[in-house]
Amino acid sequence: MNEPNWNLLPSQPREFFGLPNEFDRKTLKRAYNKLIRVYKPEKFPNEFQRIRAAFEQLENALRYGNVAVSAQELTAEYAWRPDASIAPKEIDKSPKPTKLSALQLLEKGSPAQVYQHLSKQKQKSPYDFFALATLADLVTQDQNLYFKWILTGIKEHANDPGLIALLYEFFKRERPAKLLTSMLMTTSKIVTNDRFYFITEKAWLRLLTQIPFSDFKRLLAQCESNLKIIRNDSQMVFYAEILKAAVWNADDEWFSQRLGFLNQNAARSGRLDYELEVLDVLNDYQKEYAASKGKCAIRDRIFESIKAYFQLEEAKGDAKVIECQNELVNDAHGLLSAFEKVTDTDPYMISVWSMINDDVAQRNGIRLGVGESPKREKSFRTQLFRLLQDLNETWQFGGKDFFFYLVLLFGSYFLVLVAPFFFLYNWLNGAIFLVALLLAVIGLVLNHFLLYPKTVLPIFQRYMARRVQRIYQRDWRDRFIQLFDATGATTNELLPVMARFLDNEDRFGGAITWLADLVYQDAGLKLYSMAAPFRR
Amino acid sequence: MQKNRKAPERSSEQKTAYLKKVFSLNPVYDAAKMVELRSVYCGLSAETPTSTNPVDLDERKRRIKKRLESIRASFWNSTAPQLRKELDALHARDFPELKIGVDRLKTLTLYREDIQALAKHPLKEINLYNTFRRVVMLPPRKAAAVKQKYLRDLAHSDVKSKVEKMVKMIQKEYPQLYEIESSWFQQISRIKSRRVAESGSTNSDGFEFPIPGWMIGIVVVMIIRFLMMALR
Repeated sequence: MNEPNWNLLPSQPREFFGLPNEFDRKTLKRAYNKLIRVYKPEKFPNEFQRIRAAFEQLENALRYGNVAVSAQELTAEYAWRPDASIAPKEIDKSPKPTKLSALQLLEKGSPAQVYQHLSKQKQKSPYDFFALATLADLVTQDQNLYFKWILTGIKEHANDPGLIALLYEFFKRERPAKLLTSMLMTTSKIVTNDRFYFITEKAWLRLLTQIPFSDFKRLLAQCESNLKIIRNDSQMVFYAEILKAAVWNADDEWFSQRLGFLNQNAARSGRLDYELEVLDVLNDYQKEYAASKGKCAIRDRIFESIKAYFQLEEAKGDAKVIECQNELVNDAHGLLSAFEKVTDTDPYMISVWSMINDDVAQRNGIRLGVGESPKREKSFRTQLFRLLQDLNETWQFGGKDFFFYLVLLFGSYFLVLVAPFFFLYNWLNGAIFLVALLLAVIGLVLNHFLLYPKTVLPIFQRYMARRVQRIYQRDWRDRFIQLFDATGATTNELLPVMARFLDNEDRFGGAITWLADLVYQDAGLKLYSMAAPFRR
Repeated sequence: MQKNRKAPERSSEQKTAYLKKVFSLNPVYDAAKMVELRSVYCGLSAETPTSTNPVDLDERKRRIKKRLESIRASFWNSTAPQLRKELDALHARDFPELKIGVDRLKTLTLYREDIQALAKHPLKEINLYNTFRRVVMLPPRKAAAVKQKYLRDLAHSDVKSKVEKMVKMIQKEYPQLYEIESSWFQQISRIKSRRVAESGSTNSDGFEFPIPGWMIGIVVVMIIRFLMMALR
């Protein structure tokens, strides 16, 4: 990968990620994940921070539009100077400070003196409020003063991007729930427009995991009642994000109401199509899981990881998913037995898990699947072909199956043919014999068109399906596990290649053609193939 | 508001350095950095979401991986206590993908003598023994390839009955070893039973004959009628 052009940051994040003029969240995330794979936070903390900041800047701009602080909207020369109390767009590109900066003031006096001096000023610029917030940490023991000064600054300079950015970052940090609750309430009284949603979103996400949902719901309603100007757009963006984290512990009524609100307004916005799709799947998955909750340790474990992915911050969520994937791969038998029945398909869980899997793998540099290397692909094909060859013999169906089929086929015809004569045996004179004969013919026709196809054949098909399923579970699943381990292939890669082999090779026939369906429906195998690359 | 956490004592040089750094930044672009610096200054850095870790995790991971390979290579030549000591010293807790390998080797140190005793057992089949010893040592990907190859070769070899006897012996006398690769051992056993199936006998599944209700009904009525006729 080429070295990114760091000079483009912080003012040109779009160009830095190499994105076109028009892009969506998915494209942005892909570009971000690609860089994060190289610049991991543990190894390149500074680079990671710069990439993350640029990503958030673009993501916020995409989601919240001009409510968010966006470097793109500001001139590159914009600097936060002591005299920057005027609106950013009116700023002279080379302003001459009319007052001394905090650093200059500190050359003449102690931090305490500068703090006193600034706090006594009647007219304070955004910069003054920031300086007061910073100095408060040095000259007082009250760490809450930092928040208070920033918020007071926003009260006086509502649109100042510097103070807004600081408050946004302030709310991203972890804080005790009680403190966070009180800060959110105070903020809702000062920032009474829809910027409140943008500034506090991260704090709400964190609060969801810290307090009971009933308290969360009440607090959010109280804060929203303090807001005076709300445009649906920001509220929708906010709820689209919050619901993904709240779906796991919110009550049905609240969740349905908010989802309904999003659906009603989505058509107008058009920006939230993907988010709504995700929310629908999460909602369905939540219901699907409720039916098996507590009954299957593996399903519970996956549920916890999915929940963590949506509720915790990125790195912690990723760690939970990776940990779970390693547990799954380490207990292959447990995984396969948890999804043994044909009905154990868990479609919504597979869908959500697969989405998460791709995202986490992409970000953590874990290669999923065989990939495009011709050597690896050839090795995968060879190993799969050998596996099909080896196990083809498992589909040998014995004489009992054929005998059973004959019993059903001829038995049905025999019975309808013989029964009328048998029942009318005592009266079998000329006329009654003809009646019995007529009934026998009707019976044969009835059996051919109705009884055999509707009752006899389905029973034999079900019987065969059960036999095939058992053979598949006994002989094939473990071998596919080995194949995934050896090649890194996924079920999505396996199915088309296998289908081609089965179509083109005369030696594979009969029941083996059911194999593709069995693999396709096998949720346990799918989960294993997703987990295996995480062990490398 | 909640009571403040007590900030660490700072020298005036530290205070000046902090202020110089923070006041030189532009919050429109560097708000994250500014709040991060404050967190560190106020002793709240542990709470930061993107705190920097001085230890290079990637490098550590590489080192553990390398060390793990070398322990694997010398596994059969070292003593169990020595191996356990070396494995404990790896501290692989932060890397779940490596921890699995470390845990497996730790388990194997407990059964090392059993594996060596297998070599002297009269029911030993040398190829299976060597493959098993290799498989338990290898990382998952390589182990899977070796296991697949063994199963393929076995299907065409003439030692299947000897292999089967050894698998049964391991299952009976060394269940702890059987457990380590139970899935593979089961596959080995099934290869034999499949061959038997080819020569005429059926698979081991239960034999079931679900028959439509109407056919059963007619047969039952016919039997009743036949009995009535016979009794008359």
